[in-house]
Amino acid sequence: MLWRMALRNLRRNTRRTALTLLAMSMACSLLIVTLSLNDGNLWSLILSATEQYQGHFRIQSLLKESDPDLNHTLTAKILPALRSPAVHFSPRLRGMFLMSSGSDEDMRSLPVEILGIDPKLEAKVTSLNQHFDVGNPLTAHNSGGILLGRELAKKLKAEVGAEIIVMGQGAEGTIASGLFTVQGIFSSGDQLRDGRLSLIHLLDLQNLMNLSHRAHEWVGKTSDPLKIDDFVKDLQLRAPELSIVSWRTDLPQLATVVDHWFIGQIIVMAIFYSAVILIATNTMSMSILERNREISILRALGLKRRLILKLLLLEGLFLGIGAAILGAIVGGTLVTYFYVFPIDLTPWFGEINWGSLGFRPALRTWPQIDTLMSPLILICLLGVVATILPALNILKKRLYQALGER
Amino acid sequence: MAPLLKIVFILSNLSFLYGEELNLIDIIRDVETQHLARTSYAKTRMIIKKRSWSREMVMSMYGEGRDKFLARIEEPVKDRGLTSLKIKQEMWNYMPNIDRTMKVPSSLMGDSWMGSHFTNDDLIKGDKIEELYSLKSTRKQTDLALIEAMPKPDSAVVWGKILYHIKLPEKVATEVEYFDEDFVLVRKMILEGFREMEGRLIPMQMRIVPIDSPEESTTVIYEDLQLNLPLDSRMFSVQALKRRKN
Repeated sequence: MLWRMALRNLRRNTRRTALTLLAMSMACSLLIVTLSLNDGNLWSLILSATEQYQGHFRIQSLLKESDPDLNHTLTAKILPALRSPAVHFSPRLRGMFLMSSGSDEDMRSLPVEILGIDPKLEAKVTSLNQHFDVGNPLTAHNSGGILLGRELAKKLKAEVGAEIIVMGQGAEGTIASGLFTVQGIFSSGDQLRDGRLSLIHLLDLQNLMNLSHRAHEWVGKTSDPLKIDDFVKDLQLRAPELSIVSWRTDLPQLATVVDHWFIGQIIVMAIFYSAVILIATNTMSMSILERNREISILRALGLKRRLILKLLLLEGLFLGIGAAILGAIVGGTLVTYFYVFPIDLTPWFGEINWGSLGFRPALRTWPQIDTLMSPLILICLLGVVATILPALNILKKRLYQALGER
Repeated sequence: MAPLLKIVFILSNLSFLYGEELNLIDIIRDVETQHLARTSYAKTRMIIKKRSWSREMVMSMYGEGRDKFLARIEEPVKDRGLTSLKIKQEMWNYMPNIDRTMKVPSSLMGDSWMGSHFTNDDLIKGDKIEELYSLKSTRKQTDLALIEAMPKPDSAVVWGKILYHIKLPEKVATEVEYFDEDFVLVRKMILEGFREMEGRLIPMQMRIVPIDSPEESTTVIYEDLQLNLPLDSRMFSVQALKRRKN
């Protein structure tokens, strides 16, 4: 009976109900989007830094940790013990080489690092083989192609199609020399790295260094980089003979930023929640105070205060639920859109380099169940709670006073 | 009369000092160019011992004075024909498997040569120690002298100090110690198996030992050494590298 009356009351003045619903749902969707953008900023920071090159963790031989000897390698045999759902691994081999380009008369030589990657597996862990100024990424099959970092290509004055000569050390003291063709020029987001790094197919580097089926490290990506310490501990227990290093160890500045981020986030969240509470309370108050005369007439007709209060609370709950549904639709759509299609801000702000970290600024949301659910629950509760005070205000007035007010 | 005696005394001491410096310069120049002459040829065996591997190479080395030098790997077969050429302060490597020549930048002269404990510079003797370093005799006994080489203020050099152990009266180095810019001993070179050739004593074996990994070493054994032999000067050119493939 009471809930039917509440629904009828809401339908009776559609303009008032629509305006209240709109204000509350907008507040709800605004909160959902803001929270997701805030999370997106944090994740952009982590993903941008780890996906460019580092990955979330790397596995190497214990010997390699203390001795950079290129003969300390691993094979894929280590993987079965470490496999977990939603974790991707990619092998990498690296070597220091002297690299030359140009003719005999105008030759430029530089010491560089060549990283051998498996393009298919690397794509699941980092975007190293994806950000190009010119040219094409490495393909699944080894081809004799080489990718140069942007700054390295400038120093070598090498363009796509140029011939590159490399010479260095292979396994067990052998001399490794090879000829490659520049296939692309990439930008990883870190100028320093782009000045000394080049990429070739893993098989090409294995052949060059005489290290067939070997890798210096396996880099990995987890589903939750924020819980990387626990994850690495678990892996380490499963493979104590290996050295497993998390991004928090490799990128200590980023780890510090993330730790401080949470403190800042509490303050930001408090501000946003307060704003939404104020908007919702004010809207509900106005819509109830506007009904002073109507409520007083109900009292005059003999309806008890308790019953009227219940009726108003029910109306508030329905408004809250409606606002939550609308807010979830609008907010959820925006969050999904900016998650699937993040806006790359690099054309406007450029790549941001900070210490050894490079970031690509982006407008990105990050959907998480708690950031989606908490505004919905809050707006439902606010529908009820924000009704109490203005309703009591009206109900405690003497009837003649309430009816006499204009 | 007394002032005149004083001046004579000072001048005699100055000439003694000048004479000693000339002597030190000669000794160090001889040490640094002991395997070189107007022209030279050597067949050498290089044994590299690292913690996790060891390797042996046979090389032919040709030299013309101090400015031209060519080292060609003969063994192992896989690396045969790989050649390093030095002309004055510049160095090139020729790689027969890709038939390409690569210039080694001067900034990498201090880097390892072919994975050994020798640097590119050790091989080509690019640094003229007696010109770039100030020499001082720090200890002199009847059979041993220590000569300390400190870089001159305007010299761009790899080592912070070099200490030569000179055997007397032959005036040949038996050990050379290399220190970094903080005067920490980094490596030492031991010279052994002296043989007399063309009126001078030449070590037929040189061993480099890094101080931080004493179990590692690189030994160069001179199996054949010929000095002042007729050599075609044109072989010391970048173009000639490619012509000598096999």
